[in-house]
Amino acid sequence: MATAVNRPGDLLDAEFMNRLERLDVVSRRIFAGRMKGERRSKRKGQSVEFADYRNYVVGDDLRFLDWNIYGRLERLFIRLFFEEEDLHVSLIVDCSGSMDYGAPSKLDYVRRVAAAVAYVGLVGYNRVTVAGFGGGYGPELAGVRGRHLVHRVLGHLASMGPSGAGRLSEACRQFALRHGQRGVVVLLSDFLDKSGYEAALRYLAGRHYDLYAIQVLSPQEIEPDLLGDLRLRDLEDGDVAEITVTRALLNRYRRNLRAYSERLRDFCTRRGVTYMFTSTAVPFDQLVLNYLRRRGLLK
Amino acid sequence: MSFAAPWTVPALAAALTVPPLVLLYFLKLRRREVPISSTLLWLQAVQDLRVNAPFQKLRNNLLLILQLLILAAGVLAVWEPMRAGAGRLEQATVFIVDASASMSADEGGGRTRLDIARQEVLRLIDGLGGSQRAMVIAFADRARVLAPFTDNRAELRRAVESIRPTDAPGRLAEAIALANAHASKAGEATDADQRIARTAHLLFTDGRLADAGGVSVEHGTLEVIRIGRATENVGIVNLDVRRSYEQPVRVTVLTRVRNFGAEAASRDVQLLVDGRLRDVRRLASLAPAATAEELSDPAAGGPAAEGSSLPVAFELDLDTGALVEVRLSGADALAADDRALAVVTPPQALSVLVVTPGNRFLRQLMNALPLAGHAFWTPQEYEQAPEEKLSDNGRCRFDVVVLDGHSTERLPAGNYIFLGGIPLIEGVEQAGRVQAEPFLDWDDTHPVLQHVSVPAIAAVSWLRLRLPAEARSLIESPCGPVLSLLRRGRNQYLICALGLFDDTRTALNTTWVFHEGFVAFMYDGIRHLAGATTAGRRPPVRPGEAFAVPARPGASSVTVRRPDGTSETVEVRGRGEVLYGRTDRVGLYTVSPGLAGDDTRAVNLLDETESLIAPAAGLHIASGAVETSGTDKVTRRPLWPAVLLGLCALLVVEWLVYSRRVLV
Repeated sequence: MATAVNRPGDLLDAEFMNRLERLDVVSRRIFAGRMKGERRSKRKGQSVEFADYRNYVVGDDLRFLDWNIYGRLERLFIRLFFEEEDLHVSLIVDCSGSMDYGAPSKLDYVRRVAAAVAYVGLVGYNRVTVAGFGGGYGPELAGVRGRHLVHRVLGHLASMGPSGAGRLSEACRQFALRHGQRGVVVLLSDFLDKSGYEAALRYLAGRHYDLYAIQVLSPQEIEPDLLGDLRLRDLEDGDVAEITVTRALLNRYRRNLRAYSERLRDFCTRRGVTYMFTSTAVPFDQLVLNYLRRRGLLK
Repeated sequence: MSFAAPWTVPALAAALTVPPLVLLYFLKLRRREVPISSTLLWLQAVQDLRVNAPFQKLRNNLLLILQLLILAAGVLAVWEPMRAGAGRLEQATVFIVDASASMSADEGGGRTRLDIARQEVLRLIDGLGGSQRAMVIAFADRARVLAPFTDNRAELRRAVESIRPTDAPGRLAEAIALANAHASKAGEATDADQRIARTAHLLFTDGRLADAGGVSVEHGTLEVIRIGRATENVGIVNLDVRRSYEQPVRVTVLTRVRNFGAEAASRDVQLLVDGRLRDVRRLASLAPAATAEELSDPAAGGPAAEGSSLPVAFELDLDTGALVEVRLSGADALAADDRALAVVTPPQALSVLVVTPGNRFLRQLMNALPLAGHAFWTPQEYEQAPEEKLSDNGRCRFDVVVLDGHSTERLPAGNYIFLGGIPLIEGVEQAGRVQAEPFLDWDDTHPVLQHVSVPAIAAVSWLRLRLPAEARSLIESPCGPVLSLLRRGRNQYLICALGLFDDTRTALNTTWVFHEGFVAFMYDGIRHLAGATTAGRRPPVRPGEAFAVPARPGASSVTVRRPDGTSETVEVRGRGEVLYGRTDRVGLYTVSPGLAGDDTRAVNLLDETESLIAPAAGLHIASGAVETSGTDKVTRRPLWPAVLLGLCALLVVEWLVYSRRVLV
């Protein structure tokens, strides 16, 4: 199935970008950033927000001595402030063959969502990383910061195409190895990986990212419009299953899908991962503007 | 288990069906290809459905195994499997079906033993293989080959279906002789000694065959299939109707009723005259003949147990001819012996002519006998008497003519007693006189000699007689017959070589005239010749026996109406008689046109062997005892319905397995 998004401009239109201007990426955790940004850091620094006191030692900046305390106690204390730093926002996009399925294509859908989140991140002077994976890890665009690089990020997303059998766990392992700094990580995938999703999520959860797992499925997967004697061909690995689809079999499939998604949700919940499920039937702007805001990824 | 169809049939069926089925499993089904994102969720559903895989996927494929089993069941059904009993059919089989009276016993459900036998034979015929041959013989008192050795099942079926019940006694010997003859003939024709040696004779009978002891099977084996279970039967075993000699109007009906079952019974004995009930006697308790076990003994049927056989006597006045019927009330298994008939002729007083030169003894004797009339003529008067005085329409006017020492050839149709003389007819010769010698043999069971003490007869001499072969010798001496009975045409001659006087008629030749035995002899002789011994009834006829009836003068053929309502045309023989032999059912046989009063004959069963309907457990033939077996032991029952049932069950299982795979 051919993707409908081939150019950067196809991902986000101007009007939608204007609406995204008002949003910001939210992290439930406080991370130490690389540069000063608009976000409170775990480091104590020079922002206006008071954090704590500590004893003065030689060499400390005398500007942060609290003279009022010295007056009362005759001891020197240094005032500590939260330092505001930039936030790492990473987007891991599943570009495996299975994502090139459905109408609209799941891959188009997740690229649009990723573009929207990346745009919000860039506008908020966060450090944005966009990584895709299919048969292997990549391509990756790491550490992009600033509004002026929006087009570069969008171009990177637009260049992502379906490529082979997805190796989710390997991709997540590679990402975790490369990105030690903590931040918000959004994993966009259908999670239909025959080798399982558990290892992949364990890699990411182990790095203590503020992790969001967004499962995207097409309506054709949720409610298959199949009946009769069929030869099902797997878009990823070419596996073939010959099957006679009956109404009873469809019901069984739906039960299996529901159980699969529930297991994924439970797995995520137990590890502090925010799980979100969406169908490509849901307009992506609604997803971004409403659903992601409700779930706390954006505000 | 055996198979009715040749092995080539299932082989062909298997060759035509099994390879295509297996081939179908190798071929991929034409399915619509649909790309999907992942087979992950379908995996569990589809992993068992991958039936189009090559060989290794055929292993453990329950569906294929089930379908092969279904095919195997179908092929087995085509082979026509049969469950064989102990007596599996041989290459050549002779079906011998007993159609005697006892086989008409009702076995419940409106089916007689013959019906059951026919059904079993038909079932066996249906189970015959393509190369098996069979013949059908039905027998009662006579045996008939209904179908010679053939492998044509339709012909065999038609032959079996044509077997009709009879009331005749069962005689096995003729049937076995016919089977032996046909088996030999078939063997010569096919030059197959082995086949003949393996001929199986299947005898379907209840085992009550009086002549079985003299039967032997020359080729193959004899197996007796016992038919029937009913044992309870009460029947009339004797009927004697007599007019009183002294009072001809008075008729005595003597009958005997016997219980042949294992349980006590009661019956009303009804006497009907010309269809109207005249009298009823109640037999409140007829003792059982024996226990059920004893009744199944092949030797059962001897003298009646005490109380199981009771006589019943009726007396009534009949001044005309009539049809007397004795009937038993109630119903039992065998109906043929519940009714007996007798045709009673009009009362007849005898008239006797004595032709003698003079005989004081005979004169006194005639005066003493209860006769309608008697006359004494001398030989000259006899020879010179006008024809119309002696005979009427060719028939002697006197019932009996006694010729004392006179031989003559003037013998109009009638009954004659010759004392020391002979009828001058062909074949009867007198060769002088011989001195009296001790008698060699005599028949004291004959009615004429029943009350005569033959050894007490003393004589000086008697005539040496030469008589034709058909003459029945009643007293035999070393030099020829002394007393003989000769029937020729419508004449009967009782010829006594012993004269009462010597040639000169001055001295007695015998002292017999002084004995009461002589009176009894003359009395019984006159009665016997005149038919008075049968007391005014027509001679009894048993089923299967022939009877003769005088036809109306001038008729060339007559119609015989049978008890079952059918009619048959019979040619009149030279002597103006009709001889009819197809008396296989009890009842009345009426000849038309016949002589009024002498045109009907009654055929009664009156056969204790046939009335004993309890099936015998075995059969004694000349070569030893043959055990009987039930029909279930020899009947080859088709198994294909069961196989088809199994096939249907397999289909259901196959469908369930298939559905289970689809449902996952």
